[in-house]
Amino acid sequence: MSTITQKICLLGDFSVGKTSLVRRFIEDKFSDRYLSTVGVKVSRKLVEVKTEIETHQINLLIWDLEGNTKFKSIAPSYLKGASSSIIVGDLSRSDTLSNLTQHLRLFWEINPQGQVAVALNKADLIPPEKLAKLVENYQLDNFPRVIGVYTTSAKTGDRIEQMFEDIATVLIPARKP
Amino acid sequence: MNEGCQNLSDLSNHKKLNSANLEQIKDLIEILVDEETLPDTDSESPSKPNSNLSRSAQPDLNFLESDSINQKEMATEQESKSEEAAKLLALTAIEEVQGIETEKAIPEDLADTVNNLIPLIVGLLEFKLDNSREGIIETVRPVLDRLIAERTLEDSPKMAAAIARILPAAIEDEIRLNPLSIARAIAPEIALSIREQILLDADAIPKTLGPEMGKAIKAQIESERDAMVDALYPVIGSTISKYMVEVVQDINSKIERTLSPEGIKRKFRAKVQGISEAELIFQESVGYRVRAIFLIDKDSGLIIQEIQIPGERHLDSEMLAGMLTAICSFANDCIASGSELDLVDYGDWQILLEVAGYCYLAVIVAGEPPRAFITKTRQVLGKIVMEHDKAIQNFNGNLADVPLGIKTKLEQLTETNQNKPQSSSPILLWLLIFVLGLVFVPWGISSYRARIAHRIEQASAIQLDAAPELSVYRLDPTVKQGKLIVRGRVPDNYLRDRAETILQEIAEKNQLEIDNQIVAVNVPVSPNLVTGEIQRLTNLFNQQPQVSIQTSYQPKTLNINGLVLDKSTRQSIGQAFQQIPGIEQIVFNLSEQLSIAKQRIYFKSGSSELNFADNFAKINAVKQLLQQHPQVHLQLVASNDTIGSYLINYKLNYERCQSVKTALVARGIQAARLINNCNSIRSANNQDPSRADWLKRYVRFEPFIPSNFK
Repeated sequence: MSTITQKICLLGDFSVGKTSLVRRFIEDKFSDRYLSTVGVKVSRKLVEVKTEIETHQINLLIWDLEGNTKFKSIAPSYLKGASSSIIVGDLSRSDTLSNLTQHLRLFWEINPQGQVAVALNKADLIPPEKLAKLVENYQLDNFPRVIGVYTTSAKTGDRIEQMFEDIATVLIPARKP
Repeated sequence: MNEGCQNLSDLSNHKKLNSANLEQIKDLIEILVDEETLPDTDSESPSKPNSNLSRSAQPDLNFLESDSINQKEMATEQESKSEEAAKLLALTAIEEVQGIETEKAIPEDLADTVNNLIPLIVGLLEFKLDNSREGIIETVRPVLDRLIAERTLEDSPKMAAAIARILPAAIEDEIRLNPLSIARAIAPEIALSIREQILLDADAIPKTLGPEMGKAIKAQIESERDAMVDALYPVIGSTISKYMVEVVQDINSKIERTLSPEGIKRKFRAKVQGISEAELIFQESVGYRVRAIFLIDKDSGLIIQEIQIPGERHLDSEMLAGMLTAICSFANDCIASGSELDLVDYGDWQILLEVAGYCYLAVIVAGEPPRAFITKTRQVLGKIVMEHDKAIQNFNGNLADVPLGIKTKLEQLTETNQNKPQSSSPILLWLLIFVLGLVFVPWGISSYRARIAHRIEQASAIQLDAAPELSVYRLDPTVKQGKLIVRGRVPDNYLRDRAETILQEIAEKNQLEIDNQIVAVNVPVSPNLVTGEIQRLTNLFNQQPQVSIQTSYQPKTLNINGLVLDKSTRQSIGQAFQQIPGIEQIVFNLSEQLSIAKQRIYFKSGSSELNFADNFAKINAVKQLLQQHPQVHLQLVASNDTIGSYLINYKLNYERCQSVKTALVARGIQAARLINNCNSIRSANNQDPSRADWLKRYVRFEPFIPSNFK
């Protein structure tokens, strides 16, 4: 059983729910009080991924970055060395969704080989019938190295575990011959 | 007014209306109407349909309930027509109540009616309030407490809910208007309530008060500094003093060891670094220790290698590395682009940061690390980067791929720390070792030699002591520069040599050379012994026929007077006396006798007649000698030329001796002192055959001193 450590960055506009996603994933807690992240907050969780051959332990170091606003962009130096990233958008705010590609570009500019998962958060606020249509508009699967687009909800915990597991699976190092 | 509505609607919803309630409502309306409005209603046109009124009131109610802002708007709108409306309302209300009274209504109808009534009453109250506030108050006052009391009995939760809403505002108001009384009312129970609350939830009170404590203490310090100092003094004072006592003890011991190598090293360091020695001592006393070392990937903040010192609290290295990296990035981005953060200082701890190309080293240290340690971290990081830069650059989060060499190099930092808490630059250390070597190596060698020498000296002393003849003398053997020197005094050379023989053995065994500095001292010998010995020797010599001596002894000097008739005897006399201890000088005062033996009186061939003319001088000389030394006797010895028969020669010898004797006697010499020894033929045979014949014919003298003359 091998253990590797990987850095994951959360990117997205302010108040899309990056910190809440991390909190749900790590502590399984949610609070609807909005607290703006200042700078960066680093968290850690050990994820086990079972493949047919063996069990891998992936130590995810999750860098929850300050969301960018009109006046302040994300410091690129925080993204350095990240093997993957979660780009977060808020389903209830369309501008945050249209910014997703911009974040993708920024991340790949610094980590050209980085893997990306797209989280469309706050799915609980959107009626189910509208949800499918909204998601259809933001299919980013045509980009290479996009693991998937996930409609998540930090409030209900929907799809979050799955998203992190998928990321961890992708991060398992290729078996050396 | 809203609250009133609420109560009334509650009343109706409850459907528990009874006649008493109804009576109350009726009374209320009557009172309202009686005072002012009712007379006015007479003057007003009563022609307006009642149903309209009630219809118009109905939406008003909805408004009232739904939105308070709308209610206010409505109130101002109504202001103009309020009076008129009020009168109409009152009339309608009375009618409605009367209607209920007359009909035998079921409770549901009753409730509906009351519901209809509510807006009317509200309108009335409002109107009444505007117009005759005092009147209303006067009217309601007597029944108000009853109303509240009864209602409370009926449904206390509702009542509580109703009052609860206004309670905070009421208290707030009361506090504003009459703070003292509120304070008095609550004061006795505050302590109790806090205690109760602590019982209920132990954490709540500390949580509430906690954040304020800091501010409170700060405020207290600002207002009454001295009181705070006094309060805290016993705690903080003793803590600090305990710590300081330890530090001072340490400093003391360091000062006591000022001349120790460490102390000298410190002095030297103080000079070199330009810091006071006291500061260095303090720094050493406070000390430093490494808690953890992390090698961190500069970009991702992932741990490449970590060392945590056992015994310290384990740090969550990954989180720490991540945050550190974030801080470094932040500082780099926002404060000083291009330069790197190199120290994070928090309280007693420091994080030393040494940054290289793809990684950086974070060393968490307690206390003040010395410069040498910082230099060492740089060197270690330099080595790691030089040897493992590829591995670090390609680090992908898999710790298994990290070369082992990195860990061993990082461990050097902790090793140094554990073995040598106050490490210093190695050059300084070597210099010190060199200087100490200069001092201590020769010292060590010499002390080793001294020990060996001491052992030899002891052995020698024991050996000397073991010889009985030497044991009484103080002899002092010392070993110096490859020599065994022995000093002391002995009475004579024999003992001096004896000591040397004893020591020779030891000296040879230890490859030393003997330097005998023993002095043979002349011990003053007892004069009795000396004189006795001199006398004995004198007597001994005087037994010899050629010797007649007298000796006299003054300390150290011996005078010898008298006669010693031959040279060799005289020499042996000198040597013999020399042997006596106590005699340093011998003065000979002896007459010269040698000429006598050479005197020969020659004769003509075949004749025994003395030729006086020829031998006068010789005879006289012999005569003088004999007169001078009355104890000297002469033996006359004749020699012949061996010409002719033995008998003839024998006779001639005798006669010739007789002639000489007669001549001497004739000159006054006693005959007894002249002994004729001419009958010996032997003398003639001793002649050298080459000699001339006349030289063989002579009489010679052999002087002797008879013992009775000595």
